[in-house]
Amino acid sequence: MERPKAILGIETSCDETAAAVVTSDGRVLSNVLDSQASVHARFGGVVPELAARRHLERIEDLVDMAMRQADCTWVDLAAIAVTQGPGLAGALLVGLNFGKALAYASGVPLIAVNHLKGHLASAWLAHPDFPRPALMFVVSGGHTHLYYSEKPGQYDLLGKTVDDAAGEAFDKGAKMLGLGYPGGPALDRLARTGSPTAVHFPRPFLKRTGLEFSFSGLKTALLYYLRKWDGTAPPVADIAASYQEAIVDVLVQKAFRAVQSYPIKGLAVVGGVAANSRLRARLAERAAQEDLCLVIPPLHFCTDNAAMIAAAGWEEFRLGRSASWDMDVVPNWTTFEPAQDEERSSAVLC
Amino acid sequence: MSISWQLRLHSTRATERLGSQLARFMMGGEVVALIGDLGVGKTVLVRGIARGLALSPEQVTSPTFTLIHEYPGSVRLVHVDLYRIDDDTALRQLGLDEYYDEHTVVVVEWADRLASDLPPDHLAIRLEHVSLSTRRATITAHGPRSQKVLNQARASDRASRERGRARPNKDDVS
Repeated sequence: MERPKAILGIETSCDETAAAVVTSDGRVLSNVLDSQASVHARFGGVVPELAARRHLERIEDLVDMAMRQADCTWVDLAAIAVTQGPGLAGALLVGLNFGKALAYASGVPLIAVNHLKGHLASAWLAHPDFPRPALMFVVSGGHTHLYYSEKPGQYDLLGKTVDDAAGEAFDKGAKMLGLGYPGGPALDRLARTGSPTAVHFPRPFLKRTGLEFSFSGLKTALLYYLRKWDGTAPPVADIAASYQEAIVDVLVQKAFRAVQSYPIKGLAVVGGVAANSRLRARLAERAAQEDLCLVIPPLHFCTDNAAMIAAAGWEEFRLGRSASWDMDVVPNWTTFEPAQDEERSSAVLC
Repeated sequence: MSISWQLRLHSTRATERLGSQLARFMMGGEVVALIGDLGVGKTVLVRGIARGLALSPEQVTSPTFTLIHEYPGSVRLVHVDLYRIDDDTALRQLGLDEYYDEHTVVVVEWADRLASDLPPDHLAIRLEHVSLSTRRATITAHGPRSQKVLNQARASDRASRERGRARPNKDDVS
């Protein structure tokens, strides 16, 4: 029996070494990753040099594991998709060069994938019939980006944060409340036991008509509130819940403002913050009211993984885009425009 | 002997402008020790530094999750956050030494954790909350290289104030 062709995805942009095999009809044949969390835990954040070294140690095993689990050989592959950026330069270089070498040796086309497009493509993994045109929302530690997508692989930016990302607001809020690291999940848990209306925090940019976001002022508002707080009343859970509510309010209201301004059939919310339980509940509620198809991929597709890179690889493949052998990493890639040559060379790690 | 410059910043634009004003006089090899609470405008100041080094300020984000951010250019900008690091072994393993060179401006948040490991010649910038929108910046030069940057930035600031039209952007490097 002829099996559908597959794409091998490789992801090493930050602290997960990941490989996955995804077929043309969106089946995930394998999706493996090695989390470096234990390597970076004592630093309280990702150390670029250590990340790169760990990727180097693990990449070969992970790719081998992904291929074996998928029961795949090189002839089954339509392409090899690698993350080109944004991310840590040294970390990206490992995956990109490994993928490049594999593609060259096996004669399989190479595809360069923007990590953010990977997150966007995870909607397709979760829901292969995800309707378009769609509104697609990336909410993570590094991004709060709202896109309009007419068809797979094509994304127009409608708005983004002018300062901190939503995930950063969660993390820094948690830090101020003394909740440890990683702060987002801890804040989510604590907030479940608190009242979201106990303290009023500002809803930055909500009165403005555009689709830009800002979370820096909210962080400052929490800092000022905590300076005056006596440490007992209201309970810390109420403050956490109220702070979280301010972030979630802005995210939900802005997303649905965009829903009303564009002819949209589906809404996808991707990225690490999509794991927040309050955000999920509020989105589901609004989507039901508006009769909109809402897709929030399961957690293992929301956090960094290689299945989403393979999925985005398929989108690029179908649009006829492949990478040349001199393709290089783009660590600070801020748009979806193809990386310029000049930009590329300057982006190389010295 | 170290010299200090203290000024009030009445908006985030003023904070960014200060960063850019200082960075315009940096040639590479400078180290900035940035001290200040959460929400005081550290990332905004680093955006200004990026602008002053002719790098795109838009790409600058806080090194919250990844502790070292690198922005390549003719002068490279490296932005480090040591907030969560509290043991010496971890500090050493971070490998900061590899980032100090003549083509790089290194900005270190919570540089006090480095203590004597901080290069002796550095520009210390302390940002403090005065009110919701106002900050106080205290800039202290330690060593000749930093002193030169501080003197030049201060002279240029004075000149633009004397011209009486010290508007943001006007004298920023494009």
